[in-house]
Amino acid sequence: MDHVKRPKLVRTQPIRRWATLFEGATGQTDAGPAPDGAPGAGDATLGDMLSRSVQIGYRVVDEYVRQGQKAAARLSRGTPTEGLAGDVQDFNLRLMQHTSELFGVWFDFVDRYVAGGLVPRAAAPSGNGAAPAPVPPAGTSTPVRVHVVSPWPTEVTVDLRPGTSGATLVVQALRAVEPEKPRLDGVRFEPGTADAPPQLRVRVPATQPPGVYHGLLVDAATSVPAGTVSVRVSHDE
Amino acid sequence: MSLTTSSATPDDLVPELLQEYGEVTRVALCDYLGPREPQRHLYTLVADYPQRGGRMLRPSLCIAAARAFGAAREDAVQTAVALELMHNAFLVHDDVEDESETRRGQPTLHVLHGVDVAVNVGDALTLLGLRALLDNARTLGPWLTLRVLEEAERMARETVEGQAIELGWRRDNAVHPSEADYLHMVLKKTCWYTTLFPCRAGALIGTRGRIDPDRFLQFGFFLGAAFQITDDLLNLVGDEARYGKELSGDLWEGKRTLMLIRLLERATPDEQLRLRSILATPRTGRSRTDVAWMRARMDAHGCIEHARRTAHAMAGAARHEFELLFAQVPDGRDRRFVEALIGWVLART
Repeated sequence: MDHVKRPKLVRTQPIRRWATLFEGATGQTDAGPAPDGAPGAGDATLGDMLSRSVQIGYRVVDEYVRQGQKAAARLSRGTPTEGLAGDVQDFNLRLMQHTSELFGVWFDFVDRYVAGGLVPRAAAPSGNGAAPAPVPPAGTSTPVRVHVVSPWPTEVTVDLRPGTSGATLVVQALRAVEPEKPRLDGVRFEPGTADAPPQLRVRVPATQPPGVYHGLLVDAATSVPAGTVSVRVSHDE
Repeated sequence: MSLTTSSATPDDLVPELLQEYGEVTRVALCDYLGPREPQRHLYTLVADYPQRGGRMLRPSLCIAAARAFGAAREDAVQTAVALELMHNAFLVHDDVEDESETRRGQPTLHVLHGVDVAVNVGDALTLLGLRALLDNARTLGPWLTLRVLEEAERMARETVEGQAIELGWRRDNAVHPSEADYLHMVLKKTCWYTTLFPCRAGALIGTRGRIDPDRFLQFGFFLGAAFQITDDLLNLVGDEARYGKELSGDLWEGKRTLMLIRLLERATPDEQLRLRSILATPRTGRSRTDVAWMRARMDAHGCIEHARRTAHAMAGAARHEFELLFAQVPDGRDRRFVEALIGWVLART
C-alpha cells in the first residue's frame, strides 16, 4: 500500500519572516512607514503597512522586556545583570528569595488553615462527615534526630509541625537563594517509630557550594507542608 | 464526558473546547458563588456577571495551555476559576470607570444598583479569585501554588497599570498617543489577563514550574492585541445583540482605540479642531451628532480598515510565534485549540 508522503521541506527551522504568513503580502520586512494605508492601496502598500504594524508590535514587546530588565537590575541586591538571560536569572533569584521568605508565612498559614477551622467548603472531608483530626496544642515540640554526612561544616535546622512525627514526609530538594547553585538533594526523612523519633538524614557532597539551602517537608499523604529544613554549608575550616 | 480525541476542524474546535472547558469552569465557579449573607447587596450581585454568560475564553485558554504542557484538566481548573472571577471583577470596575450602560446584553451592575454597591461587588470578586488561587494548594502543592499566585499578582498589577494609562489618556484628553503607545497599553491592559496569564500559568502548571513563562510574551502579546483590536472594531461595526455592549460606546466614552488614534493622525486641521473639542467634552455632553461625525470621519480616513488590517497582522505574528513556541509540544486537541484561537479572535462577531 502506497502512503502519501509530504515533500521534504526546504526550511530546516521556522521561518521568522512574518510577511510570508499572509497571502498576497509582499514579503518586505524592513520597509518604513507606509505613505498611505487607506483602503484601495496596492499590495505593496498593504504589505508595508502590515510590516510596520508588526515591527511596532515587536518593538513594543522588546521595549517592555528592556524596561523589565532595568527594573530587575534596580531591585537586585547584587551586580546588575545584562541581557535577557540575566533578567531571567535575576527574576529567578528574586523568586527564590520570595519563596524562602514565604516558607515561614506559608507554614503559619497552613497551621492556621488546618488548626483554625478555616478549611473551605470545597476542601472539607466529603461523604463520611468525619470531624477534622485533632491537632496537638501549639507549643508541643516534636523531637527529630538529625544525621549529617558532610565534608564541610554543616548546620541543620528543622522546623517540624507538631503531630507529624509519625507521618511519611517527603523532603523537597533544598534550594539556595542563588539560582546558579545546585540543589541539595541528599536529604531524606525517615518517620519515627514507637521506640525512636523521626530521623532526618543529610548528605552533603564535597562539590556543594557554601550557602544556605531551604526546603519544605511535605506530608506524602496530603501534600500539606509539615515543616521546613534549612542547611547551612560553610567552606571555612 | 471528557473528550480526548477530536476530528473537529479548527472552526469547530474552538467552540467545542470553549463549551467543554467553560462548563468545567462554571461548575467549579459555583463553589465560590453560593448564596451567603449578606445576599441582597453582595453575594447575589457577585453572581450576576458570571451568570450572564460569556465565552470563557480565558479559563479555556488556561486549561488548554496546562493540558498541552502535560497537566490533568483538574490541575488547572482552580486557576481558571480564579481568572474568571478576577475577569468579572475587572468588568464591574471597568463599567463604572467607563460609565458603560450595558454588559452582556443587560444593564451594567452600577446602573442597576449604584456605583458604591458595584465597586464593592468588584472587590468581592477579586477576593474570591484570591481564595480560588489559594485553593490550588490542594492539587498543586505549596511551591507551585505560590508560583501561580505570583503570576496572578503580576497579571493584576499589569492590568491596572494598563487601565491607568488608558484612563489617563481620557482624563488628560491626550491627542498624541501613537500606535506604539496604544499597543503598549494593550499589552498591559488586555494581553496580560486575556492571553499572557492563561498561557503562562497553564504552562507552569503543566510543567510543574519547569518552564520560563517569559517565553510566552511575544505570542501572548500578538494574540491579545489581535483580540483587543477586533473587540474595539466590534464596538463600532458589530451586531449589538451579539456583541452585548452598546454599539459605538467607545466613541461615547472617548476611548483611545486604534481607530481613534488613526483618526487623530489623519484628520485635517479643521477636523482636528472639532475632534479635540468633542473629546474634551464629558461623555454626558457629547451628542449623537458628534458620535456619528467621528464615526463617519473614521470611514472617510480608512481608520476602520487600517485597524482591521492591523488586527490581521497581529494575528499573523501570533501564528508565527506559536510555531516557535509550541514546536516541541506534542500535537493534540489542546495544542490545536490554542492555534485555532488565532483565527477565532479575528472571526468573532
